Amino acid sequence: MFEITLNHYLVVAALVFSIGGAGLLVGRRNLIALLMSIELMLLGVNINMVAFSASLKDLVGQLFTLFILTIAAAEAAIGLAILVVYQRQRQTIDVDDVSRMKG
Amino acid sequence: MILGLAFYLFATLLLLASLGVILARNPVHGVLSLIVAFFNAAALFVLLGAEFLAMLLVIVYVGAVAVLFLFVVMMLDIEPGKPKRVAGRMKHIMRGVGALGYYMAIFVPLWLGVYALISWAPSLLSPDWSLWQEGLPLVGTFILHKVEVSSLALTASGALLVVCLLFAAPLARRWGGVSGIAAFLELLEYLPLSWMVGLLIVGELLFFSGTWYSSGFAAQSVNAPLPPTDLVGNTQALASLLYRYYVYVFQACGLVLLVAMIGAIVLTLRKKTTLRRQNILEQVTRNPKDCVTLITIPVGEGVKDV
Repeated sequence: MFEITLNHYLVVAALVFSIGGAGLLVGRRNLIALLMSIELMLLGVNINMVAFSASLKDLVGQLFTLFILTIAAAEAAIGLAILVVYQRQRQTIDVDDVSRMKG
Repeated sequence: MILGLAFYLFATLLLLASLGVILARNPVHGVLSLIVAFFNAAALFVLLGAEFLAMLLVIVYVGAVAVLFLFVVMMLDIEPGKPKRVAGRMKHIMRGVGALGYYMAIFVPLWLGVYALISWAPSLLSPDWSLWQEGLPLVGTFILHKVEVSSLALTASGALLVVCLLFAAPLARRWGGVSGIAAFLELLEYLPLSWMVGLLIVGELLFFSGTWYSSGFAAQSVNAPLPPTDLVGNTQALASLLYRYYVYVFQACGLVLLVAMIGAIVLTLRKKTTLRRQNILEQVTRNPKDCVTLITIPVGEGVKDV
């Protein structure tokens, strides 16, 4: 039980990814919660990549994680900027109101 | 032993913090949970030997991205969501369970069928009947989690999942409109659908995580083998790989970040209309001919029009 294998990490990564996905789909509260769920999903993917990198003794997996982190940071910045603009326009960031496109 | 205990500790905290992110009513609590999750993921990275990424996660993610989230949450003045009525939520959950069964009854046989087809396809193509008989118990052992996981099957199940995601919602809506049990099926659009898809993802991922093993070719196809850790540190090895072979991708990442920065600034920049600023271009390009006119005013008549 205390022997930690690749599968243990994969299960953790799968659970984190799924929790993020469930938050994305279930948590219909506000846009910030959705952005945080996306971050969680990316974190799950990263754990997967690093686990495989360590298991296969291949450094490219870790390098790829680096790139994923970069893109995730860019995505968070743009998403939050859109959020701020949206809130300024509508005075709300509830997900249910976003489906209304115009006016 | 110690490593195992550390893994379980960090993994448990990571999962609890992740649940905290999606369950917190107050967004500030959500962001703080996200920070805890990042810290524990960094600890897992250390256990895996990826020290640089652990450092990066703490510095860049906790230090920059999570704080950015925190700033935005505090700037936006969001009130925490009101708790819903318990009775209504119970009803939703009951409906969700019902819809899950409905969905599973449709898509899981489909999914198993695709898998069986893929497992059998080689034996179906070849007329050799011994292969066909070998393929037959494959589905049985697949249900017992013992079959080899081929990459083709993984791809197919992923594609099927995407198809489910794409078609489940419109399908549910149409059925809800046509049949009389709309009251039951209209729920498919919101919460239950999400739970179904989430549970399906969990199931599939756990399924494949449990049966995973690397193929014999994996060791041969390693692209950049890890150097011995007593000679070269993780950060140094990563840097030499990054700057030697992946320098263009690295530059592209920098460009992506630049575009993101410019985009964020352009999006949030506000022009104040109440302020009268100096416009140098307008001043310099002003032509004296257009601004000053000499008028000869006749005596006793005054200025007519300028």
